Amino acid sequence: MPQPNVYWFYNQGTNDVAKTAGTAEDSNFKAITPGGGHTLAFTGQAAMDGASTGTRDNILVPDSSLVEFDKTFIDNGATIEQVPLAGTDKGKQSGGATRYPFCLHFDGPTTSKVFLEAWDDSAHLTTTSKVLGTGTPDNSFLKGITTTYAGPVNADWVANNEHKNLAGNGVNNHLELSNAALGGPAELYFNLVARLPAGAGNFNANPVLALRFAWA
Amino acid sequence: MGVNMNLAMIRFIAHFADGEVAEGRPFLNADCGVQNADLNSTIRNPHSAFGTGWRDLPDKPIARLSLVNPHGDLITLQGYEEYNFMVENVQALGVASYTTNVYAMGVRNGKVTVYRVGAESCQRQTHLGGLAPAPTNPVQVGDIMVKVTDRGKEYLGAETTGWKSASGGMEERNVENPPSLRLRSGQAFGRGA
Repeated sequence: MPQPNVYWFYNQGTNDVAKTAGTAEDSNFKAITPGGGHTLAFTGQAAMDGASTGTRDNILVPDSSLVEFDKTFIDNGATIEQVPLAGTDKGKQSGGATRYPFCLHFDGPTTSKVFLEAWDDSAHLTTTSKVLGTGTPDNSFLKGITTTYAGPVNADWVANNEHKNLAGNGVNNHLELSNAALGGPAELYFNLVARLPAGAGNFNANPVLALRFAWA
Repeated sequence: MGVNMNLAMIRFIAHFADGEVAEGRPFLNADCGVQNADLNSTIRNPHSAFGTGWRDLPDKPIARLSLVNPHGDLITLQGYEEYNFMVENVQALGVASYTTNVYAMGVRNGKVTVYRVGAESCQRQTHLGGLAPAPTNPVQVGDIMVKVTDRGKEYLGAETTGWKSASGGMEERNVENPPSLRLRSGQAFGRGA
């Protein structure tokens, strides 16, 4: 039982369909390559698919309640590639009760469930940044939902409280991407969104999204 | 007892009830290479292609389970109903995976004693090079933490698989897509088997 390899993918289209099983890209899913300089970016609506790396747009802090970042991209170091199915129907792309914006392929078994976590940085130890709730995980701007087994029930799955506020590895603030340990190769799916609360003010943070799992 | 006490590496040692001793494959040594015991070489790649050997153990009762860390500390779990050993990895988006901790666990009367041995610091430095911030984790390679928790909540509040019984057999409950090759034919499995 060797250590499983993990492959990250994003759906670059609006076909809300599962990825073809395996390690390869398909007509919908593109790879996020380790060491390839890929980052996940939530930004405003003027950012366009295929724009040059680093392209971002402003989003206004709301006077009350929360506002969803308009668009989601993978910045591959050369261009920004939109993930149109990400988020809820409160963004300005094709999000909603969408099941297949992000995919992980595991090529072997694990001895634990697979968890998705958010941290301040690559030390994977702290969640004190504003974007992750300033030490209160439930206040994290970053919200996620596991869609491995089913899509969200409601197009606004945050308002419908189907999500987890992502910060650290507490049981209420990470995603369990699988219901059990993986017995062999598998595809896991999730959806993500970032929502800016009233009074958020300015901030500069680059949180890290990370998987945690065990093997033998 | 046939145990190689080369203590530069993290590995398990399973002591069977019949007196046999099986040593796990060292997968992480003190200088952060990956030791391939089969080929007697060190691979400069944090990915372990060979597993730890835990799943390959003979299917017979375990009397005690030891864990050797890079400092040479030897933890021995004895008197439990079941034992488990596993390795934890973290993989951030856009970054390759690295090992964070190894776990030796024993269960008795519904309670799991979890020994977590830190294994991440220098491997992460090797893996990410200058891109990562200097490690701030107070847990250095080989540091040990212990907790006792309910069965089924031993790892991040969830259960794990791969338990081997003191009376023989490997438990495979609640595994998705179970692999076809799990147990030797004719062996019972599950807790208390």
